[in-house]
Amino acid sequence: MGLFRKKAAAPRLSRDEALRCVPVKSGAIQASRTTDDVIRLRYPLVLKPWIAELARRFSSSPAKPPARQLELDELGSLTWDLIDGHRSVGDIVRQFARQTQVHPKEAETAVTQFLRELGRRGIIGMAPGQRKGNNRKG
Amino acid sequence: MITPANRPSYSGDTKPFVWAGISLAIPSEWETGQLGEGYALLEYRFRPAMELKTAPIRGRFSFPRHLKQLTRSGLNPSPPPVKQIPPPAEWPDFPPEAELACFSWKGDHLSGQGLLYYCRQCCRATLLQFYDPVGDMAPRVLASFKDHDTQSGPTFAVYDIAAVLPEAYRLTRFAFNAGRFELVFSHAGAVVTLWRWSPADVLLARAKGHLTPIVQANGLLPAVAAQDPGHPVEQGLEWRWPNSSWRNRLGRLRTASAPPVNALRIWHRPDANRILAVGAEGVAEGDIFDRICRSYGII
Repeated sequence: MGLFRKKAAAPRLSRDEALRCVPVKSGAIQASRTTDDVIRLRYPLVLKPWIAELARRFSSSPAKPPARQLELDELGSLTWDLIDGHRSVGDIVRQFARQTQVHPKEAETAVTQFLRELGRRGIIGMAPGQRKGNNRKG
Repeated sequence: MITPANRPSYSGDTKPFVWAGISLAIPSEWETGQLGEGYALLEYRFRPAMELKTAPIRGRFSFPRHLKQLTRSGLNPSPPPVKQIPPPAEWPDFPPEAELACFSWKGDHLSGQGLLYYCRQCCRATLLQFYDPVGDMAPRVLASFKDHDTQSGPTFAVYDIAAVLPEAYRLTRFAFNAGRFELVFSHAGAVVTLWRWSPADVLLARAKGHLTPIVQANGLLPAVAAQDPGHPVEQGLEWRWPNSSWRNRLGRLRTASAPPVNALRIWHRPDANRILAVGAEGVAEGDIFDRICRSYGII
């Protein structure tokens, strides 16, 4: 019955805990800046093992794992540049709001959606953050 | 737990907050967190600072019944139990037409105190609750509380925008998405829509510095005005177009004088990095449209 067993739900983070998490870029990502000054990411496709095996057998260049490209817009590129493995999500939101002059709530929505999308594609991971007094960074 | 690090610090400046007919002066450090019909959550450094719930009351007002209704109508499906307390000494005096009861509550991670305020004059009950550790701002915010006679101020002042609309206009629809806000007001068949986009520099760079592509991308103009390049106004553009024939005739029947106004004005606020727009359909006088545009701004 193990095949059909339901996956245990991941523990839900509170908003505070989520804002304290630190996004970390995956080592497998190749980031380059285009002539339009935006970021282009090349990231390996995360495939199910049997699909990966098929891809390996039938691919014309089996040594090269399948990869995808993602071109970020101006705001995505700005957020990407703010991910340094030290800044928490909250710090990135505040910095993004300051640099773009958007309302903090809009910055929070936009940045967290963007980070979620990067995480879904395996481009970034999230490290649990340290509890700080007020979670602020100049 | 309040530690010196998370103790709030305020500059003393205030800004208006007006939503669902309730007007307050809030610390300038507080931000709009969430809005709903008769509901607002204000935040301080991404944490809840104050919650507002308001609803008209039909029939007799009962403190226990309406407190239960209002505490259950929030986002938390199982709110912590509330305890009625005497009004704190530092809270302001309220007008004699008000019935009020104060309460406090303590949850696992949050605690706070608030009041349920019922105005016999406007038959409206309002629940305001302050989350610790920002509770010491409560007296100042409560002193500015108004639930009627708010015509002198803005009709709404939320996030970073505020505007004054004629009293008869009612908010019928709103959407606050990251980068794009939209509020729709209506009255007797006339519709006024207010938009706000940000960050303007990014949007204008994509539109090669022009506002027309933003108007087109958002479908703000009807087909009849789509070919019109618009005429320039301060920092922006304006379009006016006639009513459709049957609407025009109906409009003329209703108001024997000038036909209703259909217009769109969009302008750039480089100082705030925002783009604002006002659209009007079937508004009785052009003067109303101009007044709304003049009042609409960034706070």
